[in-house]
Amino acid sequence: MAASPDVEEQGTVPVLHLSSVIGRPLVDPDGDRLGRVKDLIIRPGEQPHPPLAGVVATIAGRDLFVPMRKVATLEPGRVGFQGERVDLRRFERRPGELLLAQDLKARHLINFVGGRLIKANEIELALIDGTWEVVGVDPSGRPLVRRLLPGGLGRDVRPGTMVDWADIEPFVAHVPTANLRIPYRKLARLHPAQIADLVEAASHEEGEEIIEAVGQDRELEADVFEELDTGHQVEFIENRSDAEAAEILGSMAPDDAADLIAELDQERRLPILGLLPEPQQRKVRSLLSYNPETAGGLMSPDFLCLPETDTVTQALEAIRASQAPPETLNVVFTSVPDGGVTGSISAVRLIKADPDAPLSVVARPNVAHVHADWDLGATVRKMSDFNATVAPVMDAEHRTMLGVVTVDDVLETLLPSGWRRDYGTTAAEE
Amino acid sequence: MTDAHEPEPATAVLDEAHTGDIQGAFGTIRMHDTSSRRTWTARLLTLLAIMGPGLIVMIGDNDAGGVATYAQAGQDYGLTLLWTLPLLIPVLVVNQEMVVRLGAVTGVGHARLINERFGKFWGAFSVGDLFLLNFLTIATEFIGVGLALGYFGVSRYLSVPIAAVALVVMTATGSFRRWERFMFVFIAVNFLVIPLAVLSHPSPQAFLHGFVVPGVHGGFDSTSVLLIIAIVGTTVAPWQLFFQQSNIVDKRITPRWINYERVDTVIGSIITVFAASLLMAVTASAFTGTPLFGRFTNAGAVAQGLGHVVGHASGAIFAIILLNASIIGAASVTLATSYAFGDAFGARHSLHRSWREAKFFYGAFTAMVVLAAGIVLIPRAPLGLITTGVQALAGVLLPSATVFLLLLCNDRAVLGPWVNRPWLNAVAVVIVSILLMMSLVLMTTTVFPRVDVNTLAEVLGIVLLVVFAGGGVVMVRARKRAPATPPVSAEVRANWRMPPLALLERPVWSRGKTVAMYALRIYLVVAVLMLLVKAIQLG
Repeated sequence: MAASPDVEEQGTVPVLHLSSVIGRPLVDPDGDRLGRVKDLIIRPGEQPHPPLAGVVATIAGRDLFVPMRKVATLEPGRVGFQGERVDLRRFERRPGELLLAQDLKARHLINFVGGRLIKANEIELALIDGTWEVVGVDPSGRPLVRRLLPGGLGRDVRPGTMVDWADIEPFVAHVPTANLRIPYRKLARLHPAQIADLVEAASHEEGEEIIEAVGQDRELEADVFEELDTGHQVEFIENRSDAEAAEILGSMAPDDAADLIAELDQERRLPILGLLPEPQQRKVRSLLSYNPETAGGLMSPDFLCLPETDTVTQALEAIRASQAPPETLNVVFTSVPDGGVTGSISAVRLIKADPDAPLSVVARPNVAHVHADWDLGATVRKMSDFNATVAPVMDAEHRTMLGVVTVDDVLETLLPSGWRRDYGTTAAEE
Repeated sequence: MTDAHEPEPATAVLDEAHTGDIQGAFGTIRMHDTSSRRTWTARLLTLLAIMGPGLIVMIGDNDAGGVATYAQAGQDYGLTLLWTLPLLIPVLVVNQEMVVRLGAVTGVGHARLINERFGKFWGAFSVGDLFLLNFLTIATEFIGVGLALGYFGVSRYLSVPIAAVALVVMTATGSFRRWERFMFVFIAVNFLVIPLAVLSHPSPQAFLHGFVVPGVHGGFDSTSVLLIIAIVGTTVAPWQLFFQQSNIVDKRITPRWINYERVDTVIGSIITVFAASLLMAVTASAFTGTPLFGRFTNAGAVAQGLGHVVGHASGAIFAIILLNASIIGAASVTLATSYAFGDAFGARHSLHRSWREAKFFYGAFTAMVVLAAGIVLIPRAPLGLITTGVQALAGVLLPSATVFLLLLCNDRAVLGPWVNRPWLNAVAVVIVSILLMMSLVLMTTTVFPRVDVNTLAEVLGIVLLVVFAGGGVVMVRARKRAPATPPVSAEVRANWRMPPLALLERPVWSRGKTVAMYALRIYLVVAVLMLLVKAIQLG
């Protein structure tokens, strides 16, 4: 093939830009024009680089399917046809097929390297071992520049960074033949916070698709939900039935569930609350009796408070067996029989301590505590003054521990609200 | 780390720290600042940092509609309507103080509270009133811009579109802190009214006389009642309720700082009324005895008139004040609309979000601005009449907004130990009744022009007094019979905040309450229609 500038060298394999083929003539072996190339078809599957399955061409006013064996050449500016017959049946999509220009070009894709959303401004094809395959996507702005400049100038624009197709996944919910799904196992490789960032950066339909993909794993779905910001949480719960919503809320941490219930439509709050599993329902109700801008509203009702006569080994065992969220188990509290909290010890220090020592010896006394009605400012100040990542919330008589405030919940509240969140772009936007 | 026992002085430095500090234009209160203020300096610095919501809301009163209405009152009735203004200070303070309490104790916006405590229907009605009024108010701000720049020779067809575009761009790209600081610049420009007053040489005796003695030049008739309602409506506007509450929530002002916020509100009211009275005095003293007396058309004509009668400087300063007022008004009303939108429809639809995320809100907002600008640009539109009409509309719709406010402030689930004291309820009921009475007078005289306003007012006044006396007796008896609520300690009160449980479900209204609310609404709709009729008659 003549080395024309549209076929750029990427390594040693020439790469063909999709836009240099779409809309160009389909020619017969003699060079006479048969029709126009409308689109290219792939069948994505397990391979990292899906091969082209065929070409959609407009011939004599009809959209026809031309299989790859009848495509002689793919060149920038024209596609060569070989063979004697053309199948005149109108092109119809088959299950599992994607059209490159119609379904993928200029739409969002998930880039799993780094968990970002990118836009497929250009799709790159390459001839590998005699088969045309889709090898990558160009998310940069260069393809647009290339198209805007008139012919000669456009060809001189250098290609941008190509993202390998193996690292990305397209959104396919808008494709009519809905057999395709974002494979769950690819998404599961990302951290729930990254998945949540993707959902926040994506449009509503794309977000729905991601959530549905992680829906196979209820735990992961709940984790992703917890990481979403409140607006998106509400957006995605709105369309679910009460039972489904209760199921998601049931697997979230109680303080996050309480926050989310308060944000739902008023008519749905009580029904969904009533459908929560019993222990979760009790905890959420009790959390709802505190204003969200106070320590009581921030706290988690799950924590570990053990008698100070227990040994370090017993404490570690209790941590292993506990169902409470991990961030609340970072610090274990010790108490005496009449209820007062006497000390605290971090999980790390427990691991390093002598296994048979009683907690009363290894734990640090004089625990910095807060009260349920303290506002944000007082709570944050206490925790930062005493370097406490987990602060116990005590009742007025300093006898009962009501819950713990963990530093990750406090971090979220420190972001400024107001007209525009100044640091607002999520990590998932390029 | 600071020593936990040392009281931390509030800094007065404009600090860019982005924690949950209370960021005021004049200072910052650190979020962890919990010490009580020992010295007066510390208290003053704290006040300066908290100052903002109250002041801005009050100065936002002196928008283009306000300037025009006060100028009209002076030009048409001399100094005889001055007494209405000091009477508005208690109204302002009572209303806004209730809003301050709601915002600080619940941490939730006004529209959302109405929505969740009274149901979507009433929420929609309240917010619908607000949007209608805000839309018309933005139109009056554009009128102001057009007239103000018209004095300097700029065509209306140039200044209004530019202002519209500037407004949309400013709100789409703005930052709250920057906007608040800008507002204080505009507030400072407001004080140009003082040199303006000096230039017009008002007589101090007449000024005091007008302040103290109620009456109207030419007697009470439906037109003067209309103007009085307009004065009330421009000073105590419904958007202020929504704005100040959301602003307080945004600034994270908690019950700990309520007293400072109250002071801020009172100071704001006094400054507003002071500026308004000066404006009235300016046009009164400038036009009394001239052929222009009693012939108010619009604010632009006032500027021209002042230019001829007093001097070019006077006219120019008035035009600048008008322009400044329009900017303040447009910005405040815009933000109030955004807050209410966000509250009513969920936070995805407000200025907290970027264009991409809140397309519907920004689209609706832009449409509103474009439509408002369009109305102003219609050739031969009676701009002065539109302005007066809008302010009067605000005055008529005010009772309904106040009624909701009162009901919320008596709701124990929402405010707990912060509910209204009985005397405050009594004062608020008196205010609402007087407002309703005035709108009833306006309605009746519009439908039956031959009814004498004075006798009507007297009759209604007597009815009102009887109702009050009866109501007072009933209330005193009820209190004697009701079990005494246990006194709440100041400590508990200072720490009480509304729990989300209060909003879990809507309280059910008694039948009587439902009937009364519907009656009020129907009455108000009829009153608005009558107002339209009256405006068309005058136009």
